[in-house]
Amino acid sequence: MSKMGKLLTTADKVLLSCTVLLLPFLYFSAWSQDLQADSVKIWSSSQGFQTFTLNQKQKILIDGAHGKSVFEIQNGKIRFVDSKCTNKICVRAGWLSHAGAFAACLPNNVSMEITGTTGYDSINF
Amino acid sequence: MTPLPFSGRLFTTVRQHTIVQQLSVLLLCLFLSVLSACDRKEPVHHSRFLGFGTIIEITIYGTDHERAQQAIDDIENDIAIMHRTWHPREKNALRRMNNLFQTTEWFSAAPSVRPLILKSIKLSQTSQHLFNPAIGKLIELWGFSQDERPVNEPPSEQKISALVRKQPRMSDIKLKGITMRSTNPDLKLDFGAIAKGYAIDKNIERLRKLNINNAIINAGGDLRAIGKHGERPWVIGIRDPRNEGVFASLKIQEDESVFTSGDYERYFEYQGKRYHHIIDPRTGSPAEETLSVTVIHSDAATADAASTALFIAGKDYWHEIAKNMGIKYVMLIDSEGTVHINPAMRARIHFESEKPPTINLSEPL
Amino acid sequence: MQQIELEATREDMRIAWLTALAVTIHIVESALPSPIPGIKPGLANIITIAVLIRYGWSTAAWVSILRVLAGSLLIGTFLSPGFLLSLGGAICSIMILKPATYMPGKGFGPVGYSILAAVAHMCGQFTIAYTLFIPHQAMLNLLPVLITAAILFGIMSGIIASRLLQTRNNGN
Repeated sequence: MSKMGKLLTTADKVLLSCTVLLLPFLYFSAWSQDLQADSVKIWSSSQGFQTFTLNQKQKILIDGAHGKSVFEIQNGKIRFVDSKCTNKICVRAGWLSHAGAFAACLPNNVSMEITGTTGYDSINF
Repeated sequence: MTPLPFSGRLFTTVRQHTIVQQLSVLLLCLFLSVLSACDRKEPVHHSRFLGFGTIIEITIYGTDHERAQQAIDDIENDIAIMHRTWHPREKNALRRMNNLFQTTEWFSAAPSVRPLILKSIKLSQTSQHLFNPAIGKLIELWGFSQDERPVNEPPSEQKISALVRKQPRMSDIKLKGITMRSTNPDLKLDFGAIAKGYAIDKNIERLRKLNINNAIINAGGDLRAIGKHGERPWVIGIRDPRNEGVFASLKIQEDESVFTSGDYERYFEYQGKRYHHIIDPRTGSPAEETLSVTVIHSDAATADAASTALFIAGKDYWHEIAKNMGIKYVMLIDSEGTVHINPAMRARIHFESEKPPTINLSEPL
Repeated sequence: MQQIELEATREDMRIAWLTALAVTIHIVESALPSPIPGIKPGLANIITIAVLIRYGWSTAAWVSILRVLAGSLLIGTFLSPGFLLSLGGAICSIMILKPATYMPGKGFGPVGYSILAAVAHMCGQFTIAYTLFIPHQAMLNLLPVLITAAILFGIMSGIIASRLLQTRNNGN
């Protein structure tokens, strides 16, 4: 392979090393996009899926099986403020902000999920 | 005017310079391999449905989507049946059996419940009765036997101690063939601490029979995983007991269950104090001092029972109980946030946050 | 009436021949499958680079554009999405090669030019595919893979182009 030496000029070699070095950075920046969480999908049995952006402060009312579930979006986060259920487990879940995060009000048939992937195959809790 | 200059020469030079030929072939092979990698449809199938009063999530790798969804639909039906069969408040075989236990007379055990009872007897024994499904009456008293809780006030001390005194245990059940009886009329079975695990085991077997060998069944956060995600192992994130982020992760080795019991799963608050659903059979009240316990074990039923038992055992006795139950991987977080962990588990857990928590490394299990 | 005689010089013939070769490669390449329909590795760059070094940038640019036009007319994909992708790729490689020729010292060799051309070609194709055809987030995941492939093909093309030029030098 000594012919390779003659094949590549100095500029070639510099270029080659630069591109090889920059490559991992490219992978990282392109693939970490997947983990970005900037919108939320809210599902209800009566209204199906609806998508909302997390970048805008807003209050959302969703019709569930027994009544309304109320959401609040602020600072890139979302939470259940209130819901038609007894235990309010959904409200207790608090603010969600991470990609793939999920919470639901089971009695009222309402759930929310932040877009993007969590980066794990499954979450244990 | 000479004819096109290259024609003859190019072909002879190609014969001479086989490097060019080899490079072209290599180029083509590389190209095709890159293509074959890109062109494959993502072979992971996800599905979510309601079951056991919680969200069940099933992930299947490497099976075509139609077949995977068919299997998942079967599992959904199966879980619905099991949920009704073992629900403490439904009019089912378990209810009938609980009534018959009160008579202390011999009766024929229902086939849908008997296997669960046998398994629970063994696990109760090895956990020194910290895993004790026989305290159904206590669980009812606290309002945790149903999915929705009507009362938000802790029961009185008298009521609690009255039931604790009776000391109902799985060892009070005597077996004779397919018949059984209880020597203790206050025995009432509530399988909340093992039903999900048992159901997961049954359905993993179902998937295996369907020749689906790479899957995860996750029921409300507790899961069993078999096989791998293609070429790499399944990666499980463990949620922080106090906030929504993932604070640790681990990789599955072949066929394992990961179960966590926490004080945040089901609870009510009264006068500023939190009362959660993991009742200590010895005190009759929710176990204190523990935030969460995470256990890795082969079968899910054992992992389920163990995570409850070890939660109750707390930071002082978890090691003894884990050893007794044959559990090899335990991570317990106490109410102060200190992580108690055995070396084998420590080696497997990867903490995600920049600040790792205070760790108390125990003796090997 | 005066007859205008167009004399095809020896050089014209060479360039024509090279263009024909480039077109052939272009057509063969169009038969290969691709993760994103229309995005090609740019094997025809071999010719572009060889022409660039031997005959200069403007000739190479000409050969490139002709290749895309003639190729698409012959295949029957003129003005199709595939055509737009090829054209976009070709224009991007040409545009990056011009400043590259100003590299001081010995400058770039065939491999260097080839890498630049291949990566620019791929970027051009990707941008057009992403903006016009598939503006989907998932496309971005493919980009690093495509760029890696482009770099590899660039190296390979460069080596082949270098061989081609050597044999030509020897032949002449």
